[in-house]
Amino acid sequence: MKRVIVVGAGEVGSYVAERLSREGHDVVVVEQHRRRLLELGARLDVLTVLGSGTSPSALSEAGLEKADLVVAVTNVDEVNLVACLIATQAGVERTVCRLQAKELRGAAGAEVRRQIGVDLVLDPDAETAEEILQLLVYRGASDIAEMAAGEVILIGARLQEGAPIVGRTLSDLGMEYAPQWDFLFGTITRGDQTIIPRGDHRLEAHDLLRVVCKRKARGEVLQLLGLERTALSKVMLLGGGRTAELLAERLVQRGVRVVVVDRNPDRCEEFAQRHVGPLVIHGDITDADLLVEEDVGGFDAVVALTGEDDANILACLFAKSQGAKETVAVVHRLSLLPLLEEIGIDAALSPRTASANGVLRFVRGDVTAVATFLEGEAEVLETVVHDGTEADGAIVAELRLPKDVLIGAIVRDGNAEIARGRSQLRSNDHVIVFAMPHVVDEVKRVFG
Amino acid sequence: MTAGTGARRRPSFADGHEERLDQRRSVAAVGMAGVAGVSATTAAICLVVELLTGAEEWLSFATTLVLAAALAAGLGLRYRLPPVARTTALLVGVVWSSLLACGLVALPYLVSGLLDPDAAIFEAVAGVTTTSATTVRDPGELGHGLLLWRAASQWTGAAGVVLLVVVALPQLGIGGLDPGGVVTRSARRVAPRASAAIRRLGAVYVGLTVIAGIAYVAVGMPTFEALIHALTTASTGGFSTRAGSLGAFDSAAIEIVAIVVMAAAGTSLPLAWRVVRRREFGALWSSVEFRMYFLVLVVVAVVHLAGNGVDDGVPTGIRQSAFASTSAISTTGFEIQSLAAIDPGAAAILILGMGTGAMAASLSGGFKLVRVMAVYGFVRRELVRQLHPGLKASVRVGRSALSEPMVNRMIGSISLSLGLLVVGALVLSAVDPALDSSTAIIDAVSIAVTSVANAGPADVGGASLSWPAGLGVVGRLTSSALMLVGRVEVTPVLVAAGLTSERLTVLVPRRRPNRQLDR
Amino acid sequence: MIDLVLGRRQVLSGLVWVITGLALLTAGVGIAASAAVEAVDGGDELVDLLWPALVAFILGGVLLRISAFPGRVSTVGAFAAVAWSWVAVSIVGAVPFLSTGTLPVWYDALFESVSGFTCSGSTVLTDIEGQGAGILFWRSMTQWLGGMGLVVLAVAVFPLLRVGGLELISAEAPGPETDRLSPRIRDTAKLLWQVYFGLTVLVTVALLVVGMDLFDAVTHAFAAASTGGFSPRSSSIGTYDSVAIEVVIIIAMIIGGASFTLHYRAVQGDLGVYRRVSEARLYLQVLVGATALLTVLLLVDGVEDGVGGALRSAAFNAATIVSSCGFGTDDFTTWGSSAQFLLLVLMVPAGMTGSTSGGMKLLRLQVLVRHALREVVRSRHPQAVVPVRLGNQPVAEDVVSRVVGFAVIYATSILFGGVLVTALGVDLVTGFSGAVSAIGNIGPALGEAGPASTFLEYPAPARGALMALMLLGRLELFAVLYMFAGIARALPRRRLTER
Repeated sequence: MKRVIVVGAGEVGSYVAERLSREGHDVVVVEQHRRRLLELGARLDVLTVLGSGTSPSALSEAGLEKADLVVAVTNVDEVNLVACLIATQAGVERTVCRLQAKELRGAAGAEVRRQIGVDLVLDPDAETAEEILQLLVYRGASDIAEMAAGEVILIGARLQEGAPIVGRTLSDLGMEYAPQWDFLFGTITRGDQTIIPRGDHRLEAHDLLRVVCKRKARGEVLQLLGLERTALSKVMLLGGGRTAELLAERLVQRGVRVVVVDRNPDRCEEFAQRHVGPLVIHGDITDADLLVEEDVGGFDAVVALTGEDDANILACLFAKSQGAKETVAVVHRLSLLPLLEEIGIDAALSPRTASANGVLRFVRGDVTAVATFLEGEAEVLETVVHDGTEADGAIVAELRLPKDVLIGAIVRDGNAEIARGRSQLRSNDHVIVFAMPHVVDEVKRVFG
Repeated sequence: MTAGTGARRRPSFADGHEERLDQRRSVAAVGMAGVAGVSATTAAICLVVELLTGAEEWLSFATTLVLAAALAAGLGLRYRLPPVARTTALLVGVVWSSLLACGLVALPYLVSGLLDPDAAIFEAVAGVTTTSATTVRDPGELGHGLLLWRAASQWTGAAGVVLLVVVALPQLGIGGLDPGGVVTRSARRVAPRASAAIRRLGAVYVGLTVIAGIAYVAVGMPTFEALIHALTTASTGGFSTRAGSLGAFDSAAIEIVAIVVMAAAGTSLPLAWRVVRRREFGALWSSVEFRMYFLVLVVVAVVHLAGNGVDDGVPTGIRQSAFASTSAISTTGFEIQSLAAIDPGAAAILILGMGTGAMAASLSGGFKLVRVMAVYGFVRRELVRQLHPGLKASVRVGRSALSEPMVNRMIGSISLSLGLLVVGALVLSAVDPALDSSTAIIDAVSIAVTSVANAGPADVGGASLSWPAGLGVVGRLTSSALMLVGRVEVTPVLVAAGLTSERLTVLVPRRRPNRQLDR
Repeated sequence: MIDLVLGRRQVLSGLVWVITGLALLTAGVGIAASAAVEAVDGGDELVDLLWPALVAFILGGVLLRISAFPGRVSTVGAFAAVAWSWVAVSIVGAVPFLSTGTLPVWYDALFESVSGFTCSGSTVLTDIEGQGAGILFWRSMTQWLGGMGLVVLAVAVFPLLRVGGLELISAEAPGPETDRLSPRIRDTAKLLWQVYFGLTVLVTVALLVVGMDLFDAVTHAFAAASTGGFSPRSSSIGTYDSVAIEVVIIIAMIIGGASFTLHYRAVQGDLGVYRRVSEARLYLQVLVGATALLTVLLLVDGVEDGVGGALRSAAFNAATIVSSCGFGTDDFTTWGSSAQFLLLVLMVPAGMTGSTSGGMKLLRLQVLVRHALREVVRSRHPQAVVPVRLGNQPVAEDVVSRVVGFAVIYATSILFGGVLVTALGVDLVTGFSGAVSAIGNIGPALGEAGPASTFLEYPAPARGALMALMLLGRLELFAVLYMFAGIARALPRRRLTER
């Protein structure tokens, strides 16, 4: 149990506070907007302090001396840096800082970060962009996470009708693909229920599966799930914010043609000035005429990433009706998520989960990667087996793990293996684990 | 949906892609059906004329009639216009329709065997684009049917362009119109509904043609020739029935009729409708573009007169200058004196006038005066801006302010046309043996200008060359291409050719990552 | 001496007098230098050259003495002052041609002087070899002085032009924007002249090495570095019929037609600068492309038989036209129409911004092309926001507007100039190519006024129009258009209040 001060109760800050508080940490939120603070205080079991993150008095009122961690996640770089500086000088051990300026995050800013004592840099926009990119590369998937430096990939997707594995049991499949197991089914969500499956579980069409696989097997997994893999050549980005900018840059590097639509003319101008590849269109993303004129139906993927959930959803639906192959919506209200697939949007994600994962990982210490899903409770952790713990040297099948935990993959010296009952764990192995949130602490205990 | 087909999650959405392809196809198909229908009707009329007058070439028209009718029926029955069409679909439709028009017009020439294939194509393109250049050295040798067919191709070609520019596709910005259809008074739409606008403009066009015909007959032209010349004068086409063009009649009265009709055809049709129908004669003069049109006509005539002199007496000199000036600016291309025969300075100003063209939304070719005026306004503003760097002022033509995108579009289209001219002249001078002598450089340039402007006469270098009859196959095809691109303009052609957005936006290698931003 | 001249009595206030005075003094130095050359050569016309020098000194001195430097300099004021100073210098520069009897008619002398100062190199002198060394030296000197610009030189040398120096330089230096090489504008002007001077010395030495005599080497170096094109030989470079000399001249012309700011950076050790700047890449592409195309056309048209000969002609003429120099080896008016037309097209943009070359400049062509193509994109995507780029660098919208405005005025000047010159009594090819050549400061035209001929083919009034075009082109339109700035200022005010 740790005492954490979260500076900034914006989208990222409130979500981080919520997650940390649910895991049982003491959370204090510092925010200068009274209304936002009141709302948060009413909703979560956290202490709230009114004031700016740059004010030493507000921070000390929040208990800076006793704090183990300060998470500065306002949307202003300078405020975050000052908050971290104050925290470091007050003797707080670790700080997390949200930085949007590329230079400050990169090598050029290393010295500044060291002086200020920033331990972890967050950039929700960049992380969201990265996640969307993964979704586009693995089209048809609803979640994608790369773990263990990309050696292991976690694919979440709905099982298509007519896919080769529909109607088969897991043990049946296991037999077929033994002994080279390159993938493993981690969780299955059917209806509202998410389970960590056993061997006798039978797969049905429309099941939402999360599969952990080796990098080289990703094509095979997508094919087994019934998803087509075609080249990505044209992508439309609806919304020209910073996330879009980062995403566009990555896509252009891959040789993808990018069209960006944004409502704000100055923003369009700025975007177009700064980036050579993408074609920037000024217009409202929910303007159907505009979208038809720009041939939205002819795109391989349409990504809606404005700040407005309803616009994003509407635009994606319209794109889909025009024939766009893949639609991805960014939504900020998590409660909307279950609806989206129902109505035909291929994938949806929330920027706050992406950044919150980074903080959670940091708070948990040894856990180096975490993926949480928008629907269903399960989390995927990447953790390290420590010397002398229960897991060190143990055979997986014999390890006493709670019911809701499944070891997915073991990465040893950079080589990934899908875990089997007779696999043996060694210290310094990276282990990918599926777990329900209530047993996360137990997992940490087992692996150290 | 059964297992094994690999269906997407929501099969109902999968139709969108099909629809998109279908839309593009159906717009082109409807346009082509229209073209085929008009061609079939014209062919039927020509067939009747041919049968009545001598029946030598009835087979050509019968073939064309059958083919065009079949095409029209086939395409027309199968495709319907989609409720909403994307700009690309429209542009592709325009390009395909005009190509089909050229093909169908060339058909009787080919079947009759009177023209070589390249000459037939040239003749057809010249007809459809209302350029007066012809490969037929003596049109008198053609039968009545073919003469009518030639003239009718110009008349319907001009009608097609007006239909396109004023009514159907004002948003394409062809012919100097802005997306809203309101640059100046002259280009304002005359009726809220497109069908009504078509009727009204059609009435003006037909009216002008009929009046021209009657006037020609009244001043002593034979009836059939009067019909042909009425069709080609009102459309600013410029095909004639005689070898020496209109000069062959050697009649002052005929020339004066032609001057009036050509000048009228160079006037904006919507403006003409308002003047004639609503008796708003003041509207004519209150249109700043019309005032400019009149001024340009006079100035060019005066310069021509100054250069050419009045050797044959003052009235003749004035008449000749007025004729040359109106013929050039309205891009009709009738000639009473060859360009090579007159003073070089006068020839230069005439070629310049052909490039400029007459009013927007008229039947003429060229850049259109309104664009020239817009560019002048733009330059003026830039000059003033040097004096007052913080200046915020819009470019104006007369009293109406032009939006920045529109000004940019006009200037862009002029740059593109200039580029087309340069490339065209270079290709012509390089590929055609007739244009490769060291003195032929001016002929290559003037052929390029008059082709792109859809005017016609271009023999400035000397009597040695007679365009286009003196050109080789490649030269004829090149100038055909220039005429066609000049008529539908460069931008639509580029877009329809698929040369769009990303490739043109930046003109940088796509796969070069921006390293500066990567850091 | 400067202190002596810059007196305290201030009768005339205004930049134009100061600038004109300074430019006249500079011209005086040039004429005096020519007199020195004449003295060394024999000195028949020494006196005829000395008194014009004296006139220039006195005029310049008096102007400087009675005029005051205004405290503030407006852009338009600077533009107008520079333009007027050019007119004055051209007139004074014509005096030696008259005094020595080289060109006895005043308008011929003026034409030669304007053609020299604007670096055009179109000549009306028929018997060149028969002239004295001094006057020929002065003829080449005018180009050298005009190449980098008299006013730029004045800013570099005279301390009092600190204020408003940038305006002055941008009024005269070729190109839409003036790069500052150093924080102080005076140092920038100095650096530019240093590079220019260095290039001239280098070319002289190279020409001496390949076998030219000293006088020819210096005068040709003047003309090559300034991309002027006057030669003290009537057959120009063709006189020597030497591949080595042609190669040296080609390289010199290419360097002269490229940006001097880039040269400065390259001299500082940054050679990659030529590869990074998109205009420099285009410049080289144009040169190579034009050479290749011309070679093919020459072979196809049968003008040259061997590939070697064709390549030699093509390379020389491509370089001479693109750099706007105008030296000649062949009479290209006898070539096929396509090769001639290609040369005519190349005359329009000519060289790079910031160089001594004339023409519209490749940078402006680039902007114009991108601007036009952007409109194609916009017709397909009406709402698209597309910046005009040079390489990867976006260009500000107001700069684009200015450049496009410039291009339109340039094209209009060619068209109307062409019609005017033609109407004044030559054929169409000669008339229009003359206009293109004059406004681009190229030198030879097509038709009757080719490299083997002189501009005497044009009647006197037509030559007057060509002179105006030369000044218009050399001062990049705006300066000349603002010569009557007072009037220009009054005009827009009235209209603007209506809006």
